[in-house]
Amino acid sequence: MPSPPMVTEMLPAEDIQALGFPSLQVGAPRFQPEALQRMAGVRFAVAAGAKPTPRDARKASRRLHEAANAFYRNANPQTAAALLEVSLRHPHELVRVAAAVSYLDVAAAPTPALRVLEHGLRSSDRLTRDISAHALGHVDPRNPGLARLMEQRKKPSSRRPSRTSLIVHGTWARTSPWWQPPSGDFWHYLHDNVDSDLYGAPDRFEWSGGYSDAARALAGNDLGAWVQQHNIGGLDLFTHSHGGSVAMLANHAGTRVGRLVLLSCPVHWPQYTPDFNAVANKVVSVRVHLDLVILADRGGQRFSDNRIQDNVLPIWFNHFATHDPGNWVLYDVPSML
Amino acid sequence: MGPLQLARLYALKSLWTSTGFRSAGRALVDALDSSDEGVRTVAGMFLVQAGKQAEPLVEEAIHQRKNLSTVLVIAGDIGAVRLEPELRRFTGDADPQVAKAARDGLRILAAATSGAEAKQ
Repeated sequence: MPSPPMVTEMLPAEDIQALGFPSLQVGAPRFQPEALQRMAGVRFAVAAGAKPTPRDARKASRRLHEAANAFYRNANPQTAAALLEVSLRHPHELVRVAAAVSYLDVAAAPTPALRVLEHGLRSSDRLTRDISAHALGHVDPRNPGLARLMEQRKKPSSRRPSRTSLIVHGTWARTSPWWQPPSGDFWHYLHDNVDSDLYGAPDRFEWSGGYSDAARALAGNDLGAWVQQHNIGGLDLFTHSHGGSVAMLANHAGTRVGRLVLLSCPVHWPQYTPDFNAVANKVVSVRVHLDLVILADRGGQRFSDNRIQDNVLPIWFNHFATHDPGNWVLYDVPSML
Repeated sequence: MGPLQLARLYALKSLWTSTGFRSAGRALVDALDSSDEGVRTVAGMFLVQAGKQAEPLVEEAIHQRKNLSTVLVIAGDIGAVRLEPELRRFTGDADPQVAKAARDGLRILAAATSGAEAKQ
């Protein structure tokens, strides 16, 4: 049975709980904008829409602090909804879009939030676009703005699977020693303990490690070409960080994968997703709690598509803990694969 | 890298991008040389996230041969077309890592530029 569409979960609930953020019950009552504005002590000139008027944006900025304080003093559906009502006119689009996502759950009429999200789809900021797309995908999957994201994917290749495996490093890590064969500690550990077929010849795959869509797109193409050149389609990929994004791009471009292991991979859904039809074995994610590098990347922390097996190690913050052989032994990571 | 180190990097980024205080941006460039892989990674991310604002700092770092194997790639990531001649110059560098980074920077720059043109 196909899985439901996945929403990027920016911060897992247990992490939010551990940090002490207020939480609310789902299924709260729905409110009219006028009532929320009264509660927030503000009256906006026009209904929330694609972009606030400069005057409403100024009003929102002035009231936001008090609305947020009211919510943190007394976290309930009304104070939360009032905070969202104000945030829908915030000068920054990311704040408006984030507010619109939750506003859909508390507002009597969804139209203002939908307008904000539709506008967010055209944002120059990737995170704003991603959040808008995820939210619209849930409430209005036929929205024309989403059509571009729903393009037909390439068909998987019919190449025979192979048992070879490969490490794909992440951002800025091309010269990092940990993944380099034959002496890098993680390469050495994987080769000796997990997969003796791990690729270790001097022409192993590497990429620029650049931090841009263009760098990752080039790397995805290069990885596909590398696999084709070595005639090892169906290989297992052990990826770290945005190396996972590179692997997913190659996978979508037709590279068949046996098992895809995503270590501390930032979630940018639907920009970087596996092509499940071209993964013969399974997709496994291994991560830590509240990864600080992923936070700086503005990516999601956890894949919530049930076709990706999610494993969280009892470690906080450390992006690089997932390629530490000591942690693989201590937490028996091979049993998760 | 712990939360405090991340907070420091955020503070530097925020100070630099909101006020233009260049020393804060330079501290991010310097952090590319940190012994902490997390600090290096996030500093590089923040420079790229700043986009064109990072271009003068990247240029300065290139002239000073500071963290070249990273800043040459960053030049490509931020689409610094103006620095293309600098990148070309480094493709023949004696240090193979620097030469490779320069070639990568040029490839990324070309891909980013053609992508931007295709969108127009």
